[in-house]
Amino acid sequence: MNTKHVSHLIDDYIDGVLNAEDQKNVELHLQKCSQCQKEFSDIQSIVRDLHQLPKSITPPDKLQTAIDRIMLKYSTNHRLPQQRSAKAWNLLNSKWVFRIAAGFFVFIGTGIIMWFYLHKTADVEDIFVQKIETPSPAMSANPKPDDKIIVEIRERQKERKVRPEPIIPVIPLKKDVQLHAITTPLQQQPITAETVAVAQAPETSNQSILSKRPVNFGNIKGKVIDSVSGEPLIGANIVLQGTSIGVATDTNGEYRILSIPEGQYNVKVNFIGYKAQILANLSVKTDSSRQLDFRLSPQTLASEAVVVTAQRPVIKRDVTSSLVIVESKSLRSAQSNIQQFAIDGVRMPFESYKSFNTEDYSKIDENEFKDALSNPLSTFSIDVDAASYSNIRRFINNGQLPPSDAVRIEEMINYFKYDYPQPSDRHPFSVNTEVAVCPWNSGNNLLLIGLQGKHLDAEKLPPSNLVFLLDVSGSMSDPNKLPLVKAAFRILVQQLRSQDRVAVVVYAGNAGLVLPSTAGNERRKILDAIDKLEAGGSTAGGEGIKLAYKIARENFLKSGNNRVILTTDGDFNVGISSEGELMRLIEEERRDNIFLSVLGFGMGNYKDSKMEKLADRGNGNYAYIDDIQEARKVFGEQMAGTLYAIAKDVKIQIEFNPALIKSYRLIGYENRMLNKEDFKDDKKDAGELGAGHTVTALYEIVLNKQVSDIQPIDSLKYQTTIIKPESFRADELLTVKLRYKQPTDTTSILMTTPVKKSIKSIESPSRSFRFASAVAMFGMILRDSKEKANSNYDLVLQYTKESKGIDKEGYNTEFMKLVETCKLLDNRKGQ
Amino acid sequence: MEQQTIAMTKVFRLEEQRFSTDLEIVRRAISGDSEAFLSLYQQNLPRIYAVCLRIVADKEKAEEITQQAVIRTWETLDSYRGESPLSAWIHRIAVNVSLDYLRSRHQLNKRVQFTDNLETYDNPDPSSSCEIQLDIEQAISTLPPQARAVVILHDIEGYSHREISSLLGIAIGTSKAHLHSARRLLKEGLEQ
Repeated sequence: MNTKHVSHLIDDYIDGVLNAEDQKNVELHLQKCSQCQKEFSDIQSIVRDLHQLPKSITPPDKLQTAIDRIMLKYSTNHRLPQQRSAKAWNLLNSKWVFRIAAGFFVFIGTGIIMWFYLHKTADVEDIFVQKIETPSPAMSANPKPDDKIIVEIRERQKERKVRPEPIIPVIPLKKDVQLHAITTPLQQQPITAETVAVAQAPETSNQSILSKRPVNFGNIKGKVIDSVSGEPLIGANIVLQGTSIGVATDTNGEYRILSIPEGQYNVKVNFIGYKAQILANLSVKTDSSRQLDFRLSPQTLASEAVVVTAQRPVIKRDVTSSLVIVESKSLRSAQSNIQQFAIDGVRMPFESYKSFNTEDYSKIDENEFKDALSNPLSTFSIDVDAASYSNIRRFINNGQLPPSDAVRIEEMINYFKYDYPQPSDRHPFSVNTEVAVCPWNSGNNLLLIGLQGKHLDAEKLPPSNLVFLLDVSGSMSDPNKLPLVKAAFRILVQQLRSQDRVAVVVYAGNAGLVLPSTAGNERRKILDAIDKLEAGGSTAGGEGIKLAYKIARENFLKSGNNRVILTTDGDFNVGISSEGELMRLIEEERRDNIFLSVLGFGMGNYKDSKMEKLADRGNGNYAYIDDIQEARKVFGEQMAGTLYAIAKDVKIQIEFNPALIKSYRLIGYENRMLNKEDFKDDKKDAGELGAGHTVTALYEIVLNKQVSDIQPIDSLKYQTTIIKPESFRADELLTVKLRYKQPTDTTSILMTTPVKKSIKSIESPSRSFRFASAVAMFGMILRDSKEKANSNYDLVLQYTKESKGIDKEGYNTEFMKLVETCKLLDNRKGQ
Repeated sequence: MEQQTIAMTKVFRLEEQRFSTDLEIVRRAISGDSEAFLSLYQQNLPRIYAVCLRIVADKEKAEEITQQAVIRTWETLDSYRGESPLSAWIHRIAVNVSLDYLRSRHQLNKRVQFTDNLETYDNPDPSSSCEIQLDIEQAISTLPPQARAVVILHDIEGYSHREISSLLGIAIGTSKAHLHSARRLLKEGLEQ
């Protein structure tokens, strides 16, 4: 490698862009060649000096002023369509002004010159001198040949150079722009003596147009926020109705509309997912700036169904090159004839899509019909959870049928409130039963068992010691996770009283206490702690649970409601994450009467199975919160029930009379089934019933039409099963046996309710019965249950309509919309 | 694979966010609310002026070119797509306008044998009146136009050879050669 060659590489060597080999060669050469060494150090010092040169140089004041003026001109021109059209008109106009002016000048100029030469009078000379002395950069004192002037004017237009104009005073750049700024486009054109002299006619007509416009302007500004969460709304539209004036809010939710012509306006603010607000007759006054803040309240979108019809089939002829692009969320319902997937534009092997959805659901094996003679007892734990319904709603609103294992029929049914009477005896809940002809299979009957928990007045509730355990890991940063948690929390805080205590523990990477136990009426302090939360890091769920229980124990209220409330998307991945260990921890704490409620948020890596198990072990309830309405339902309307248990370990056991009942099937509660001996076992954990909660269970039952229908069981070798003779004479279909414990007790109380054989016809059941069976049918359709028989969407809708008025909060109207949406989505056979 | 996709999506979202605020600024400037755009432009003005002044190497002309750059920015505002930060986009317009001028002058020089009027290039900024820097500025202004443009863009403004080659319409090799000679001419100029 010679010196000349290296000299060329030195620059790249200094800039650090040489490849490794060249770099090594240069270094080797530099060691032995002093000439190159000198060049290297010289150039390096030059480059260093160049790097150190300031990148900014303060422009001279003169330039700053000139630029301010350009900015002013453009910002006013850009502002409103009407002004833009004025600009267009001016440009057009000025073009003609130039042409006419040039032509006219040529005419006058030659005329004057001729006249001047012919007459040589002093008067004419004065006029001429006056004309050409009008200040003009384009027009020198000497008249040029005519064609050259035209050329020069045109070039001037082309160059669009901006020179300081002698006519316009320098206007400092400011927000409220006055009339003279609007009229400047005309004046700011390079004005030559000719145009001033000749362009009188068009200019006056232009001014008459301008004078018709309002001449004074005012401003409005403000902020748009979510009325529930207080979060700023970014990109909300603020429009002055009837005008084209409008802006969108910035990243702080703030907006500013400048230069509004004086007058009365209706200001409309809208944002998707919120109720639009109109502020009527806002008067805008000159030079005044009005502060207008809006608080938008969230709204459920009841959008009309959109039917998309494809005209052209997806090309499938050449299978190897055919590609169907599927969004990851619709993969579950994708048709099986797709040969290849592209997820977000990346081709994927067919099988890999399965790993894309990380939501977990335990497999549900539906309860089957059981013979009443050999299995006279059916035992299960109650379930007041309603998470499955909101989860299903999320799927359907996303335009997708839920995976069948996400459909838990009992949770769907228990999402709604039913008309059961309040308990009138010493028990904390009433037990209600009803039997009628089964809506989806008229040969069978349907038994409804409804529990109604005692309503407690929120004011009379015992004090609560709540420890919120909030997941603030990175996976919670989605808008439907942590921000929703915060919003939900705000709703809850409004309901706390001075005797209640709240603490907040967060976990992400490390668990930490962000709010020590604080009295419920210190709302500001609680909300401040919540507002500061931000998502980040991984999830140390186990550690968080430990810390939360510790705080709960430290602030234990003996006569109160001690509860840890876990909010998470269920993605525990650090610490004692093994499910078994977590469960054991929770079970231990349960014995100390600290309950656990689990609130699920978000989607994508939502671990439904894990969360429900956690809540069950902790003797708590579990809700899935997908939007602010749901948060309001759980925290607002059902606060008492969600947070205050009136009975725990509630188990139901039905004893069927095999003389009358041939077989039965429990609808739902698959993962709540207990062994018959568990019923009497007080150590065996079961569901918790909150104040005001209702629990509904449905059994589909087949009656024996005549005695000969009773099929004897295959005879056993050591015992015989004999139906007592009085059973045939009794008119009891079955007996509902119920065991529960008072929230702090360890021994259970038994309740027994026989059900008489009085079967209502298909027309006469109560609206609770109708609605519960409609929801059950919907669940069976979604699960594609083999027992769904005649269930169909229309029947569901009909039953829902007939039960109208049952749900005062209007959730069943929402249910109908959901069914209708689903009906459109469902393209499976036989629906 | 999945992790990677998520990570990439996050990075992309971050970028998108940054540029979307820039896009928002532009969108609002077009619809009449130019406040944010103006303040952003004012912030960047010293940088824009600096690059114009150095490339043009004539104080009077530099002011004119800076104004042209402002006008061109406004006129092409609709074409901003948010693919790069707004400040970089504005800067590049200024570079382009300066280079346009240089090119037109370059053509003119060939015919008319124009020589740079070096006297007009005086102290650019009193705050940076360190002697060596003044000397370098002086030396830069005497460089041949193309070499000057390349050394300013590469060593002061930090453009890569690839970017310079597309801005000037020359090959990367040519850009490197210009840088090579410009640095050596500067060394000579400073030694004098």
